[in-house]
Amino acid sequence: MKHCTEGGKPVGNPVRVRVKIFGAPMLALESNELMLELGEEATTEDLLKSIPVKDRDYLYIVREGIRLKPSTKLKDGDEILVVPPIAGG
Amino acid sequence: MTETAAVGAQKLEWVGKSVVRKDGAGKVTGETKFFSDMSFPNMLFAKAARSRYPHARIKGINTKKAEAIPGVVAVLTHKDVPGVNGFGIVVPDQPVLCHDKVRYLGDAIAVIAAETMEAAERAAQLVEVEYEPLPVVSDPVEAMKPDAPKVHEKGNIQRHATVRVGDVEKAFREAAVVVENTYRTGRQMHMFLEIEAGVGMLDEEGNIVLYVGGQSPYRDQMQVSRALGIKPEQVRVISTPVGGAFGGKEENTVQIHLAMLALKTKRPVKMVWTREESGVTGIKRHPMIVTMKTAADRSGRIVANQVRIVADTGAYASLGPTVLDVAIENSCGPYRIPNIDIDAYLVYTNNGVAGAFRGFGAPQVNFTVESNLDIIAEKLGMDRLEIRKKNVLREGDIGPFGYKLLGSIGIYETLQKAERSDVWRNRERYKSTPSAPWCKRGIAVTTAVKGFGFGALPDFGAASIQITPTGKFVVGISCPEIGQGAVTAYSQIAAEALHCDISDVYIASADTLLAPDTGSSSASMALVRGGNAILAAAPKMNDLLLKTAAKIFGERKEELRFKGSHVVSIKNPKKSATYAEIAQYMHRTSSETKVVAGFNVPRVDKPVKGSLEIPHWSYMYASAVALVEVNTLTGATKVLKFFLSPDSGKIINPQSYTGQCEGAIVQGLGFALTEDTQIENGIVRTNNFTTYIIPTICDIPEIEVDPVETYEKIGPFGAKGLGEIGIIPVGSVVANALYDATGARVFTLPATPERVYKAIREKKGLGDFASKSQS
Repeated sequence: MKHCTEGGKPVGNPVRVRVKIFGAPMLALESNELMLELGEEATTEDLLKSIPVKDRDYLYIVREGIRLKPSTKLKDGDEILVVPPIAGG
Repeated sequence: MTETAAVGAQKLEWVGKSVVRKDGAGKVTGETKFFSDMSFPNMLFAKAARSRYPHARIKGINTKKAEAIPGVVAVLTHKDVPGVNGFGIVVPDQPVLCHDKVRYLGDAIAVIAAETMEAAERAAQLVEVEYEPLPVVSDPVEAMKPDAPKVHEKGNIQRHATVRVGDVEKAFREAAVVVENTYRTGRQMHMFLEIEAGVGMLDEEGNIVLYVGGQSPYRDQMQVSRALGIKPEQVRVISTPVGGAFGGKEENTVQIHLAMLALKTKRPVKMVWTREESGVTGIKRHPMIVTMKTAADRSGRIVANQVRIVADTGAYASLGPTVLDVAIENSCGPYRIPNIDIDAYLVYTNNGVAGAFRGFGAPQVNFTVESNLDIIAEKLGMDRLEIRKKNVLREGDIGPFGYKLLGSIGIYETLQKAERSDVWRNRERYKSTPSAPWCKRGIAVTTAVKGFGFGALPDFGAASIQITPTGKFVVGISCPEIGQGAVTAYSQIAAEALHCDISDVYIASADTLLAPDTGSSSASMALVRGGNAILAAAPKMNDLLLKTAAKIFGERKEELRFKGSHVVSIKNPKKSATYAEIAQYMHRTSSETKVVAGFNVPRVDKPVKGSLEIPHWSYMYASAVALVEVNTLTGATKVLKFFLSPDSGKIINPQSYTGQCEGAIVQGLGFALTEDTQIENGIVRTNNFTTYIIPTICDIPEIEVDPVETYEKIGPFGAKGLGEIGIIPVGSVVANALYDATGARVFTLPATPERVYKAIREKKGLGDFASKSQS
């Protein structure tokens, strides 16, 4: 379990999220899957700040098939996909 | 009951019906306004100053003369790009405005906004650029050599992929027959009727608004914001309607330039490329050189396939890396092949830019594998249809890349339909009646496969549904209507899921302000992704309707049911409320009226080693039969009859389905017979309808479409994608029919009269007839 919280301490009731990271942004990571523990009011933006990924402004943060805004609050137990701009065929 | 029968037994009100297209009347009467038709008060006109050389270093840029033209309001260069000076959805290697080098004639060096188009065009001509010309890289094979001039500093091989399964060398040694040939395909141009165009402006809060006919408004939003160094939310993109796309509008075209000019001038700015500009600057299909060595045992079972692909991506990558993957995946066709060995290269040259085009790398390699298979059948003395029936994939099979196939597979059934088709059953009769003594007729059958969606790459889509005070539904979907019938299909699915009349559904399509991100209209995926997103959102809306009606009736929601735009009480059927009544209650009480839900596209966890997106979770399939007539005196080929049996899962709208297939076949005939953008030393020679020949109504054969409806469990109501599968077998079936007619095989598409004539002469032992440009 990795704690990424304000000042190193959980804020309020921690929000635990599973994060799957795809493609180029995860080059700096050993695994494409992380468990994060964030503060109670944690948002998508907080999540992005807490993981060492590249080009964070243009990543897609997805929960249950829906792209989240930076201000979207995360919920305990969320499964979040972090996806770079991608296209295939 | 089989799954297919189960689909048939499901009582559906809207899905499966030939509902009249919602966008049809406007388009056929000319009422529909495309973005190139739009005009705003105080609007400026934009023009790009493009490169004069296919490959050159830029020593200096001077815009003073351009700025001095009366009416010119802004001249922007690379210095005015505030963010990343690069675009490309996956690899942003193409400059928004070039600063040190140009790599093809479409490269933009400056963009101008002026009061009139004439002033903008004049100013574009007066942008002075000092060039140092560089050697032009025009041959992709030469470009791969270490000492070749470099288009990009990192080298000319943008991607090299290898995929290996089993032991091909052992299989070749033990095989009864081995054939090896090299094939080439052309640089097809999309030739959509609406050229790349749009209008950019600012809203009251200073945010950028773009009306641009693209295939993915959210990707456009990302690319624009990345180049301008702003937040994506500061860019609104509206992308419906689109006057044709076929993959050619997946990539950024006018979007970033319009955004920059609107931001600079604070006025609406319109940019419409000319047809010639589109021909030079726009995306094309990757020409490929494919060497394929295929082996079979005595029974006709394919035992090995060795493939080497060289794909010319031109000056920039665009979607080339994944086009290469689809070419790899499709190079083994829909066949069980235990041993494969594939090397594929994506190579930079100065030949325009290649990217997405309907089929996405599949038509090129389909031509090769289907040609080799016919040659094997002939060597073994086998029937061409039987050898395919023997080898095609069946449900539960392991695919050629070593993974278990998960989706529905109807390829064998499509071959059965081909076998029963009039043109195949009566082939000897049709062949025996050519229109002139010097004409010969031939018939062939080939198959095709293509995954829909992004394969192993992550993919997702969301939809919103809002109920209006009048009880109608606004469905937010970001996939643009590009002519494929998406808006009508979405309406059918929504009406089915919301138990309402289709006229009560309005699709708010492809607007980043009004619709959540449903992804792109590409990869034959708009129906599956968008349809599933609607089916995820509809239960939430239905729950709102039931909860509200329960409040009105004073009953529990479990005691209510839907009945034709009403909610009724099961216990007391006299208790009934229309959707309008429920909606009015919701609005009056400030209740929630909008829901959003999403869909994560199923995918395998890891791609096949060496690939980016192989395998796909599910595939479309098709079999095609063509009857051709060849004039042996001129080499001119006419396709007389075309039969297509696709397996695209459940059919949502039969009329749209047939239209999609017919359009794909006709576009495929261009790939097969006439279309190839001629680029000589970096100069585009065929950039308009005068010199670039597409099929006309005179070239369209008698077409029959007879689908196989399998049930695809990941599709909405069992549907798969459709948009691309129809084009994929056209080149191969025409080429094989040509051989059947003449005994002469073409190894290069398009099979122009010159190429066919040359092949006939060579077959007769008469040698070349002087043309060296047509190999």
